[in-house]
Amino acid sequence: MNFEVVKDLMADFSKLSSAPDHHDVRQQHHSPLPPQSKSKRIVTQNVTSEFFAAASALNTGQLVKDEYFTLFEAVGALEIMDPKMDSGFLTSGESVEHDYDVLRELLPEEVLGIMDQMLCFEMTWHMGHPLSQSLFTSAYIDQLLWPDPKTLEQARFERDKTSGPGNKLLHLVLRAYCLGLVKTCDFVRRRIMSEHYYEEEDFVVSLYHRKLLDDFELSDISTKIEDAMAFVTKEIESMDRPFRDALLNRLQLRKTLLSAVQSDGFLDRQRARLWERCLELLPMLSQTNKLGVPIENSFGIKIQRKLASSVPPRPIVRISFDEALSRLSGICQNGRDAYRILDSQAGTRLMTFVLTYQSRIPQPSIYIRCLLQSLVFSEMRVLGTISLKQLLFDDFEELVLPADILVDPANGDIEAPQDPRFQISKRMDAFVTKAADCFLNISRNLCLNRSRLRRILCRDAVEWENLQFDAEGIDTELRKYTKEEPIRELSAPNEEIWSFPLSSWAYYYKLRQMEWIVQMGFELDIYQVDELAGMYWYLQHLASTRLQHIERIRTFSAHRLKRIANPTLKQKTSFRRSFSFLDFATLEASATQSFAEGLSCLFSFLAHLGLIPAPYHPLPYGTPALRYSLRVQPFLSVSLPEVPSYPEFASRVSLHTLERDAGDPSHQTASTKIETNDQAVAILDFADQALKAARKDWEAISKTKAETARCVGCEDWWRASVKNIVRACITANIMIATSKKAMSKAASQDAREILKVEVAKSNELYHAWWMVPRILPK
Amino acid sequence: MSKATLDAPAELRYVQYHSSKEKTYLSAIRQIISDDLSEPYSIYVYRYFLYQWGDLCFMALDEDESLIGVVISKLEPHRGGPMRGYIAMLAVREGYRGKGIATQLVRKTLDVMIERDADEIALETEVTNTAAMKLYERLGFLRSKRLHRYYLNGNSAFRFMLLIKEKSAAYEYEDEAQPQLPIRPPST
Repeated sequence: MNFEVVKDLMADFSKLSSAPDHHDVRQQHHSPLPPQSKSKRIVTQNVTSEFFAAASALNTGQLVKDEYFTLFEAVGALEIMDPKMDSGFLTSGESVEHDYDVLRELLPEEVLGIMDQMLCFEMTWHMGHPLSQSLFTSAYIDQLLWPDPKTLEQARFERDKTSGPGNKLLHLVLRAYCLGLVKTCDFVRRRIMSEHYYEEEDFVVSLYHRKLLDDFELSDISTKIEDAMAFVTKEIESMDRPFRDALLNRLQLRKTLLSAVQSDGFLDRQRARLWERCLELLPMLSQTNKLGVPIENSFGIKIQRKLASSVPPRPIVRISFDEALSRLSGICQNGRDAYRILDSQAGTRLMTFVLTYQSRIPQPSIYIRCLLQSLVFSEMRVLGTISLKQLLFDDFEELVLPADILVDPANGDIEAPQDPRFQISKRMDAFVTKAADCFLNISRNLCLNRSRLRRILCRDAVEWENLQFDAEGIDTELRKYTKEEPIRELSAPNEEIWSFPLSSWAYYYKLRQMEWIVQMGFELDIYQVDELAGMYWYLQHLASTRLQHIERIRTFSAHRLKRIANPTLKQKTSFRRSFSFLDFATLEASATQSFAEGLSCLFSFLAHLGLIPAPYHPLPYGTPALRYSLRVQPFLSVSLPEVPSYPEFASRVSLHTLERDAGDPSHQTASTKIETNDQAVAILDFADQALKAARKDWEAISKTKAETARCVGCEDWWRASVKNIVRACITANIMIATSKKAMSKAASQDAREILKVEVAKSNELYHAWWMVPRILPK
Repeated sequence: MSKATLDAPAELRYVQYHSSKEKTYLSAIRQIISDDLSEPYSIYVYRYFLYQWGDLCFMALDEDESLIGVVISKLEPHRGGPMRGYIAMLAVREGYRGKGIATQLVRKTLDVMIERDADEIALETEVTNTAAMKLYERLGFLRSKRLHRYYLNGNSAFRFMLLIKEKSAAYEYEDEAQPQLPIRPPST
């Protein structure tokens, strides 16, 4: 029978289904007795007969739907009496309650087994599965947390008796472990909730109306764990040494983990040592797992029914102990490593740290990503010490305003409005207010899951566009207070060129993020093979735009330095630092540009010979131009650099012919013959030149000092990543050589008969941003 | 015309759904789709689509009139913007796959969407479902976004898009700060 009638009635029925006391009402809907609410203000009434009367007025298949009943509601709706959807459904003779005696006496091996099972479920929760499908399926955890304990003493297994059955291993040891575990979850959950994360895709915060011992102090729980450890240590008579050691190891881990995740004082570098201490405990945990005896029936899906939830029953998610251990080990290592960010100092180094840390594979788990966000910024301080204004002023100085009056902190002390410094300070503060969120968000966004990162970068491109526009206005206003003199070029002496420092700063970061959007597309396997030539062309276009922009910035800084008669040491240092940044940025942008150009030409060459599909070749639906339009959509809200039109793009990439546009679905034209295809040879030569240059640039980058490369704090990961790019670059050069050799050997053949091409997925590459194809002789 | 389409069994008929066919086919439709799913859709999900966009649902029937494949879609303005078609469910009975039946079903629904003035068409597939991805890519769809842990089993998805008309603004990314909950079928 389907109660497929009216949404509101349905909602009432689903409420019934979440209260296990009322099953019989649903199972025997002829029963006239309405469930009696305990609250006096709610009067319940049995609507079964009205419901059936209303339902009988409709034909089967007829839908009564108001505009608020969306697909979301439809997907979330439950069908009562369907065992896959109705959590209260019982087969005949089945009991409502999970049948497990939490007060039974436990053997040491059983306690070990249960602890290790709980660790697995804790890790599945970290992976993003709800508590209802992980830890909350434990009868022990259920007993501790429900009914909600008002004191820590009430959080025990025998809820209604002062003393009952069970032994000390249960009441002292397992309980202390559970308390530590639950409190750890409390801290973890609170950390995640205080930062940017995405419900369900990253993490599920729902507690189903339970609490995670949040009212109780860490110190009290730690004391319980210590008491348990003291007990185990003394049990020489009743327990063999290996069991005692194994139990102590787990209790110690619980205690250390709890301290490592606690909120108070999380900015203390010493936390790294706690994570290290946890790591040291893992080998023994791993070795002693085999001593434990898992108690499968101490976990049960039926416990889900006691949780306040409107979703259908969902399966318990299990992972192996080895997997749990490797996840935990990852969390501990990443927790330890996250604190290295405090060595990075702010500015461009901070961004390099976050980018490098988060690009490692596998990406750190959600808890760690949120911890890193908190380290980057919390309580209005960056890295615990730096104000937003300091952060931005420092960055302005490094990029565009070395030793400039605009970033002189003394401006803020001037109180006379007629003083230009007062006016400068007012405007700079206003800009900092506008720019702070955007700038900080770059580092925070880098902590999101990679799919979100790309989409948020797409969304934020327009924010940076607006910021750049606002900055132009402020730059223009500031000129009269800084008495800036424009540059005039000899070729156009009447044309005044102004420095626009703040908008130059914004434009620089906008370009950087636009490059990341394209590169994240490679990493996430967003582009199809036929799009790669075009997307690498677009990447090189962005990188070369950035190169020109860096040159412009350098021109103005050099111009300004020249006009300072006797620069002080402080001024010299500031200029040196800025030029060092610009030099490195030039190298890095140039390396990106040449590698991207080389790959674009290489894919273009492969398309010309019919070895891969031609870019945006005609297909049954849509048009090539529309597909291009969809692909560049993230950039359409950006006016500078302007997105090339489709015809311009197609001609630049030299990939598309008008005949193909006309609707010939086949991209396998006569040009696949090598000897008739001079254009392909020319493109291959371009690829060759660009990739040789790229290799030189990337090798130069790999030799750069950490301070220059702004990778202080993350040097080892950064070097590993650059090394992989160099490898990718070398591979690309080899592919060029293979292609040239094959072409010279078989000049009159069809290229498809002598070469084959494989394009790997991003996770099979040396570096996910550089999709070097494998070109093999047949 | 893709090669797969040419191989499609000749005896299949492609029939547009209509509410008059509910008694005959609804339970078969539910069955064929839930065969691929770990957790079932409620009847409301089917009704939601079939009641409002029955004409976008196509069925592949064999000579005995039994259901071999089905596609279920919708078409409505997306967040007050463009008219967006959405392919919600596509299933072909095991043993009949790889013969171009799914492609035919999708083309039928696309044709009706275009006739009804769709601006764009969207759908999601699991990142591991290469057969589905190939199908849509051969028709002209592009991957536009990746959706992290989109399905209940923790697998990620690609959003596929097909533009029918030129699009002006980049509204596509305006709601990126929102959770990706709403239109999420249970996973296979």
